[in-house]
Amino acid sequence: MTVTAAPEALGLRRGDHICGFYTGEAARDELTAMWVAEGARAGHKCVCFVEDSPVLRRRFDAEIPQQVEHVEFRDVEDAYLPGGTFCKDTMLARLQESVTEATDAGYPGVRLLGDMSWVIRDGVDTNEVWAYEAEVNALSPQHPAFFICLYDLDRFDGSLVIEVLRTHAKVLLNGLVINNPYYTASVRP
Amino acid sequence: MFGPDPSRTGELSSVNAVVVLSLILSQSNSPRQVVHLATTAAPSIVRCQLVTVWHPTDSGDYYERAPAGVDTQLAEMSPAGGTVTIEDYRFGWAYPLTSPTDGSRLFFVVAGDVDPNDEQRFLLTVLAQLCGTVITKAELFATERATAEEMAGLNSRLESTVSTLTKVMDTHRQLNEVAASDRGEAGIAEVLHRLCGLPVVIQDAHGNVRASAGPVGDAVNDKESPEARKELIRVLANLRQAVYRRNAWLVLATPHIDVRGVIALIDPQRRATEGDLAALEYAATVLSMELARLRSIAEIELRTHRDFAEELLAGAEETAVKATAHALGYDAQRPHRAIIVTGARRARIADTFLRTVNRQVRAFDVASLVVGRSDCVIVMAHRDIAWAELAAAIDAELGKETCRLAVGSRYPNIWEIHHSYREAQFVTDLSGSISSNFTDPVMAFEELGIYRILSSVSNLTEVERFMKEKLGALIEYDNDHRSALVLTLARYFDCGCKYDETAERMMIHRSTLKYRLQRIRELTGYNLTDGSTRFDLHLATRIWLTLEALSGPPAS
Repeated sequence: MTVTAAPEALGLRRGDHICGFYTGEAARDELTAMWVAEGARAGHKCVCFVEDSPVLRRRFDAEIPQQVEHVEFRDVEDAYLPGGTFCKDTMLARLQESVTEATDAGYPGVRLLGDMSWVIRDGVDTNEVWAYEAEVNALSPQHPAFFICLYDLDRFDGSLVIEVLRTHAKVLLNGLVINNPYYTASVRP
Repeated sequence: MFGPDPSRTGELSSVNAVVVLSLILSQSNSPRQVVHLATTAAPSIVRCQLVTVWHPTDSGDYYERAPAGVDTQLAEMSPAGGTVTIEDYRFGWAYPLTSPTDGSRLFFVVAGDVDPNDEQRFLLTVLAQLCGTVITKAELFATERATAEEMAGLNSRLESTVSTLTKVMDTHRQLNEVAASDRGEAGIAEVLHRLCGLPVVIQDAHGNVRASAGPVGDAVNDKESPEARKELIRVLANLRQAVYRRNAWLVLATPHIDVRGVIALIDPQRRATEGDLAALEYAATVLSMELARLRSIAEIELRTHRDFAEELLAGAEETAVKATAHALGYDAQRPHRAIIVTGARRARIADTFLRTVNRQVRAFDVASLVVGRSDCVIVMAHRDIAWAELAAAIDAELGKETCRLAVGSRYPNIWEIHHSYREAQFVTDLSGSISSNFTDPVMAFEELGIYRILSSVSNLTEVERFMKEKLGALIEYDNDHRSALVLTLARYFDCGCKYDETAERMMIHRSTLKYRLQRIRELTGYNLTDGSTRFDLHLATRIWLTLEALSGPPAS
């Protein structure tokens, strides 16, 4: 099967908020590399809230040497957990700021990608996280951006996965995007 | 207006959650991950307090052994699953994880305080079936992967074996080509060096270098002691495989008990592979063949030389032996003379004597044709030297002064060597006669004087009659009385008719000599002081000695 990261081919539209599931760091890097490389080639600004990885840097240098400047890594600690705690409003402001900066800079599109493994750390208020995810759903349609949240199936248990499904309208799974009926049912009155 | 039934909405939501969760789980290849996700997700879908996977008798990576009381219920559980009683819970359900035909006894067990309704049980059944399917798929996948890995391993070993065989075949081909060519030991060393990338040395049994290839350095010339070398050869002969000694791998090539060579792979870093050592051992086999071939050639050459020499001594026609001389590359158109070398009193000679004469003759570079006989060695010399030096060298090597050289005349080519040989034979017989007074180690035919003239007289009848007229009475007396009057007379004249010198030469007392001379006077009536009589008698004694020599060696 040929795997593509082109949003149109996957049935995605700008403003979509998607969750992606993977197993292990290698799969995460592969997913990130595909999504970011394709976006950079399309001229999009790619902002990665992912642990800076030498593997990813080497891949970008090799695969998109001309577009590597479109790729930006944000420190996970600083972005999600400033002062050691998660605050949905701060993070939402940061997302909005990233998108605005990119569009102001003339980028025709923005791809925001975040690895959510930090959620399972001790002390993180998961209710705040799910509230944040729900508010991203309200924010994302207002911007020419794709919002992708990555979850490691080896780290999250079933109850958390259910919560993730409750807050994402689309699921990126094994190279395919699935419209999530559970999300639809849960948000309808 | 009727709004949506909240209970139905909740059920629909649970169904959707299970559907999406099923899609996620179905992508997994890890039973542990699937079981973990399913058991932790179930309480979000169905109200329950315990969700786990149990086995009636075993525990494993992603399941546990059922507690006492439950284990027997599970062991007797219908393949379709059913209720199970678990302490502290109001209800309990066990769902088989895999198909009833699978044979595995894993159960997805759910327990709580509120009995699930039919739809909830259906969702739990779906989750359980999904877990079972993923587990089965993962196990098949693992089996296939193991099979693929095993196949890959087999393929890898097969490739390695083929590669090794190819290398062995190539090694054999290259060394066989050397064996079939005339590149000899040097060729074997070069090919082995090329194959292994290590310097190669071929030595004889004594450690002398016969051929080498690659940067062997000077160390190869550091020969071990003869005793150490002998021990090394013994070890190599016993082991019949590569042995590591003094920074080199060694193998013995033994085509014949007397012919041995050692082929060495110089390897101070010990980096030779098994393939290299196999090539070394095969090279030793090829070297054995080469040494056997060289020995065979040497034997044929030796036999050919010997046959050629015998034919020449027998006086074969030039045309008959010319082709052989040409085939041997022998320069026949050089002056030659025959020399007969004997030991003490022409005793039977030993192999040592023959080898010594052969070695010294070659050392002095006087001949390449040497023939051994039971009592002498015949040298066909193409160059003249001071023959006494040759005799001295032979004596020196043998450690005793016994060597005698009878030297024939020089003839213009090898075809006439048989004449020189006959002369040398005459000299030998003359010097070996009990009557002879020759004592020098070297006697040349050309220096024999009257003997030389007498030996060349074709009709000796008149000469013999003259001798018998003069010495007949003395010969008859000697024969009857086993005396030595003729010899005494001959020595007396040879010594210039001097009593003391004659007695000393004959190792007899002076009075004995005077008695014998008186007896001679009485038997013959000769006046030994008369000049004419003295000449006739001296000549007659020389004729007697000549005839004795010509009649063959005396029975000593």
